Amino acid sequence: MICGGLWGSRNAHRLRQAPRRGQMAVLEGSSSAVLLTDAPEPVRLPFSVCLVRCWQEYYPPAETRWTFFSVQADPDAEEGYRAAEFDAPDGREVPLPGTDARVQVLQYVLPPGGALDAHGRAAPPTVKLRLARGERWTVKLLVAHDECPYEQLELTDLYDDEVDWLRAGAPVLVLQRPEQQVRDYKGVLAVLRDGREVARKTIEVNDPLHYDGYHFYLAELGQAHGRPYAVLNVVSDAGLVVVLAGFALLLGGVVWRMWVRLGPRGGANAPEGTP
Amino acid sequence: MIAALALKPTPLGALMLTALALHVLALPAWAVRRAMGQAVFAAGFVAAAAAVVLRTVQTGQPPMQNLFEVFLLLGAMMFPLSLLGRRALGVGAEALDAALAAAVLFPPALVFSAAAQPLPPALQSPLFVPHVAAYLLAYVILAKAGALAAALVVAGDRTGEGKLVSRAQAVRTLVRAALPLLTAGLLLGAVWGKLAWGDWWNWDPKELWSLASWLAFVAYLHVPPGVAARRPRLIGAIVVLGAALILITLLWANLAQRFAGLHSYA
Repeated sequence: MICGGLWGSRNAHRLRQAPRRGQMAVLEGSSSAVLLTDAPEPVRLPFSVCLVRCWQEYYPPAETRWTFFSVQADPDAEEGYRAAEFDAPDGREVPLPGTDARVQVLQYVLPPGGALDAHGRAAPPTVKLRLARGERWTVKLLVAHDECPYEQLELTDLYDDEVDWLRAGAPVLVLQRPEQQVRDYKGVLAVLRDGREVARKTIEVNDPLHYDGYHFYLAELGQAHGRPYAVLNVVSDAGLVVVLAGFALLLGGVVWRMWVRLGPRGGANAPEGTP
Repeated sequence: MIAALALKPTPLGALMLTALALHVLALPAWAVRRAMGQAVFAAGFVAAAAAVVLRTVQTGQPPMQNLFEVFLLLGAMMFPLSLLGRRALGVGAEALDAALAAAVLFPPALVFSAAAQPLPPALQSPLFVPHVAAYLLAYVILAKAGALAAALVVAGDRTGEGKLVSRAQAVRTLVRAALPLLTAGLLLGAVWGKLAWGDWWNWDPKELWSLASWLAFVAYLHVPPGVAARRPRLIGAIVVLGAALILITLLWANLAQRFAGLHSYA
């Protein structure tokens, strides 16, 4: 294990002038051979890696309802505000805590495009609300944004100028939409050498691509100018086989010494302290 | 992760509370009659095992994802390992097993949040179950070894009744039984680390505390026999230290903000 670890160490790679670890950023549908390492100059691999496709998979949301909070500024609170969560069942008008206004969920609707996207991900939901205060009322449609799970609604239609919305204590309705949890990050990688495809694999968390002494891990997925990209962690596997052999020997040795050699009772009749 | 002390008004909560109550009741039952204590301990195991099965069915995944599930599983493992310990290893003190199981079942029954989360991508690996299971089995065995070693340190050695081994020998036998499992957990974690993060060792706080506890038990087993025979209390203290390091690995490394690392989902 120590030998393998030393052979795979940063210093051993430096001596061999081989990159030990680096990152590649590849746009979907394009390829790159440039590896960014901690060296001043990027390293060029003798092959290029093409990101054929990348995507995220989601669990279906466990909840479809939004969570409602009435938020009021409070200088005495640790965060500078107080948030009271309250239940807003569909169709029933409920008071907005800390105010004389009322809220009613009219409908949970989905934006144009349907309920699920191509990868089974639930589309961001939209909620239609009726807000009332005394005889006045208004209907609001809240469409969730991908980036932020929270939507904020100030009750200006109901209060006009009665409330200074910057004044401490002015209430705000905050809604948190159900969050979808990522099931997996996936990408299809193809390795190109001299213009020919020499390897291809769908990689995901816990399942990297291995080629020519390097493992390629999916580190990050994102969008740049509307085009998906992936950041790949590239790690040398130098010494790994030796380390794994060391693991097997260590485990085998411990099992042999602890469980097999002395029997199940561990040499109960042996002198006290016999290991 | 942690809620205030509260009952869980669900079938799972009721099962866990029943299991906790039965494990606690096993202690006075033992004082009356050994067979009665054993029967109540067995009934507590049935309730804990039922809770594990129910949780598995409810979440559709192995109950090893968070502290709530891990502690529930640890509590359910105690009875079968206690039986095995007596029959195969000659280690008694089953009342201690029931007490440990009660202590382990208390947090999931009344403190830890039972909120279920889908398995994050990093935990979706064939190594998830063997890695965690090896550690949990080792931890249950070493919890008993640690408790017996604490008794050894405080009250000294005690000869075993009938076919049972002495207290000092029981500690050694239990550590020997657990070390391969602890080693397997550590090495499987290293292999998994390579597959998930790119390196088989990442200097993560949980990895480090885990290695520290492994080293403590390895050090205990490397004490020369003569020294161990002359200073059983002092040597027993190494096992107590190892058990304390396990507590840090299992609890503190997850709950204390200062140890946030790659295992933060645990």
